[in-house]
Amino acid sequence: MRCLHWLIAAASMLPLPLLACDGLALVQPWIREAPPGAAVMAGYGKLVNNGSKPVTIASISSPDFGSVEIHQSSMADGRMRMRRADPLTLAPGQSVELTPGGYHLMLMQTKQPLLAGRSHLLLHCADGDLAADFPVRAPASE
Amino acid sequence: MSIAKATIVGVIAALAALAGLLVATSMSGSKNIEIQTGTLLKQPRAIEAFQLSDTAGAVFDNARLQGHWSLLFAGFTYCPDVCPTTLAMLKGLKTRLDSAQTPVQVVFLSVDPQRDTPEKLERYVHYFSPDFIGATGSDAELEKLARSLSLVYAKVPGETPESYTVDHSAALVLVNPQGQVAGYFLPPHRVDELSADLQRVVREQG
Ligand SMILES: [Cu+2]
Repeated sequence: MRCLHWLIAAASMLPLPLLACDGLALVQPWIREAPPGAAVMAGYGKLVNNGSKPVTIASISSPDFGSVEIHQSSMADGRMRMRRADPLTLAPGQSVELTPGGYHLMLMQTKQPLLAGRSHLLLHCADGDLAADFPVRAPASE
Repeated sequence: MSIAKATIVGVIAALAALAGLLVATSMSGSKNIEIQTGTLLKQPRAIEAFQLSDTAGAVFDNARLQGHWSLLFAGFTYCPDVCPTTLAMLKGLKTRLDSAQTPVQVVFLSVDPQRDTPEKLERYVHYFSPDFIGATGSDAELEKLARSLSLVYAKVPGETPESYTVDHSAALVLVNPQGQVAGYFLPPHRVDELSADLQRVVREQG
């Protein structure tokens, strides 16, 4: 019992919570390199819920951006449109692709130029945060 | 005039009109060219006089669309997902066309002049290619040009007054060296197909 207490105390001293966004993973995250001075950028990757409970991403934050939202681009009647998406909830085993032309992380109020750099984002869930490290690069196809 | 005479006059007038149409069609060189990715207009359409500015502050009007082929695309720089995808595709297309000696001018038309200052537009467009032209202007002039090009766009409010977005046509508009709308390319845009189509159109219609 003593030993368990000690373990919990040790865990709480780690910089990242152990049970944050339980089961949620972000696979191959990346941010599209943008023109210098761009006020907005887009982040991509694949969200996967490996856990046994649904996970909802309530909000997202980053030291590099004033505001981050999940957006969805779509095309209807020959028109491109982009809208803020509802908070994403992933069922156990579910995955959602964030990919050009579909869902993306809308990174707004860029605080510093991020040409070929990295950025850190925190996905906030009900039970904690998931930290993700995003390389900034051009799309692989270009 | 008797009925017979009137009929003959009518038939002659109809034949003359038909002949005129045939001559006009052959003179404008609008042969039926089959393309894979878009639509060529049977009869190219004139563009109403408009006046915008490019990012260097120079006038961008009908004259800038004459003497060469152009591809126009409407968008805005606060568009980090779809617009860069299209501009990156256009960059690949331009490289391909240049190496095939098929010069085509690429124009990015900002339909968000409130946020897209010439400096912002310049950095955005030239990041993709120094050869691309960025142009924008007053709402009235943009609306006039969009109408001529059959492009639509509409501002959609966001959470805050600054975070609005702009829905816009996804089509690329092809303008011929006479400065007329020659056709449209619809997404998904693929460099291979567009390159083949444009080389064919430019070769056959000069
Ligand atoms: Cu967005």
